[in-house]
Amino acid sequence: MWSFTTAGVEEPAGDTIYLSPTAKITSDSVAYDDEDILTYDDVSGTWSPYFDGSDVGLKTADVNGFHLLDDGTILLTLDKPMKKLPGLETVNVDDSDIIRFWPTSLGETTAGTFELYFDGSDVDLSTGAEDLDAISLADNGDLLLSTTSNGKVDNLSFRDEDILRFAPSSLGDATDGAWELYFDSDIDSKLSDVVGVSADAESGDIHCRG
Amino acid sequence: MLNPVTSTAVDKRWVYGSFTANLYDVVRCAPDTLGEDTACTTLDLSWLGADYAFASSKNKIDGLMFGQASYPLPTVCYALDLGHTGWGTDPVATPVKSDDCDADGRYVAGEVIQLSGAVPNNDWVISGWSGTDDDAATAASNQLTMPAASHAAAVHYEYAHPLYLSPTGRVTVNTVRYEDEDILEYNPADGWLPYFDGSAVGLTTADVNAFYLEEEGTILMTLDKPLRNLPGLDGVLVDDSDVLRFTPTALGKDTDGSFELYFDGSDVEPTTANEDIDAISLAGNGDLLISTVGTVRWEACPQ
Repeated sequence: MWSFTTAGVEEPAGDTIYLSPTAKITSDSVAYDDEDILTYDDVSGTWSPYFDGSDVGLKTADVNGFHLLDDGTILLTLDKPMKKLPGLETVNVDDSDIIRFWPTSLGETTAGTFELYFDGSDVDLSTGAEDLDAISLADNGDLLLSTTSNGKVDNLSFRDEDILRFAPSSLGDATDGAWELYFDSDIDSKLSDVVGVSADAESGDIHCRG
Repeated sequence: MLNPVTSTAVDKRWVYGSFTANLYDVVRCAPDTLGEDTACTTLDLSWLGADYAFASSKNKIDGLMFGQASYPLPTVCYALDLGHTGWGTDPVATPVKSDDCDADGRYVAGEVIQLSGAVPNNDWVISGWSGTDDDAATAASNQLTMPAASHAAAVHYEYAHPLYLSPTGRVTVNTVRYEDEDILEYNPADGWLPYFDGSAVGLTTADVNAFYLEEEGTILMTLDKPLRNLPGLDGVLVDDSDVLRFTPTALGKDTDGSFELYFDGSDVEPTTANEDIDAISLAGNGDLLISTVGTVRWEACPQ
């Protein structure tokens, strides 16, 4: 009924995969939830916890997308609005926002604080369909984003299988910048939603889970 | 999804021409062009969940990234907010930021920060600080050690010549109601504020006829009528010819503390109704200066 070819399958050289699951899973007797980020150790051949979301107030949320920055901070987007996160006690974080996590420890005992990195409502991400579900950061600081459903920003219509590029002129609670369509899946309208994206800075390749 | 020849959902999988991607697999596009005319030079599977014990109907990827083998813990910088109360300038911090922080006003935990430049306006003085290593200081400089959290520090100025008064009846100032047993404080920055709330310490039915603020923070006062069982004076009937000393544990709208008998008028002849004291002050040598509501003749007074 179906087939796939493994001949072309190869991992990005020297890269380590980090992922967040869609629901609770158990690997090597360790339970992970949808607010966690896991990493795979090639040497031991096992998964281990990288970010434990429930330790920092995300127990009721699902991490929809994330990006690890070179300075050790983590960009995250959630599946639902959240209040009173550490460092954002007076801010109502929306599912169209991106928050930045400043860890003081990671792994099984995750601790740190959040700050608002990207305020989606400032730049026309305002409807329920415009919940971010995939984020990545380009080398020049532009954001690559995808949403759970079709939407429209600044007269640019897009679908959930597209990837948008946002060039920020300012970030935080006064987010501003310009949108463009980065990856257009217009060739086949039956394509699935992009729910994860990772841009390889060296090769320019785009890795998606759709 | 990514420029496939065909894509059809089959058992929750997606078929891309020559291969099928499960919901726990990752597809790679090496883009030839991007934007509205997106095309992939190659499109293939770049990561298979099955190769990493991550392949079941429950294991689906929600977010992913191919990253470094490890990341450092970041240098966490916290915001320092400097301010003041009363009239004067904000203190200035040195250094303006920690070396590892990008923006002014942000510091790493443990950074020792010098504060200076706290200058009160004319007729104002520094009464203290908050958020510093020495909040009781009244000097124009101070220092603090940055905690592992956003932090605020301030210098507090107070008016050097505040006015205190007690009204003869109920008054309302800026929607705050004061009674005749209260003492109000005025300064140009804040206007009228409650200084002593008599009803909080048993004086609801009395009128504070007069008072005197002692340097150590206690208050001498005399009342318009006799009162019994005030805090600290259980079983004692205080007369309107007496002077009380109030030692506060709190002042303002949450006044608390206790009284002691400071001057017993009946011991030195003021015993009639006319001899109700309605003005008091304290001379530099500790002598009491008093006045009464009516005419009196005390043998001890000069004729």
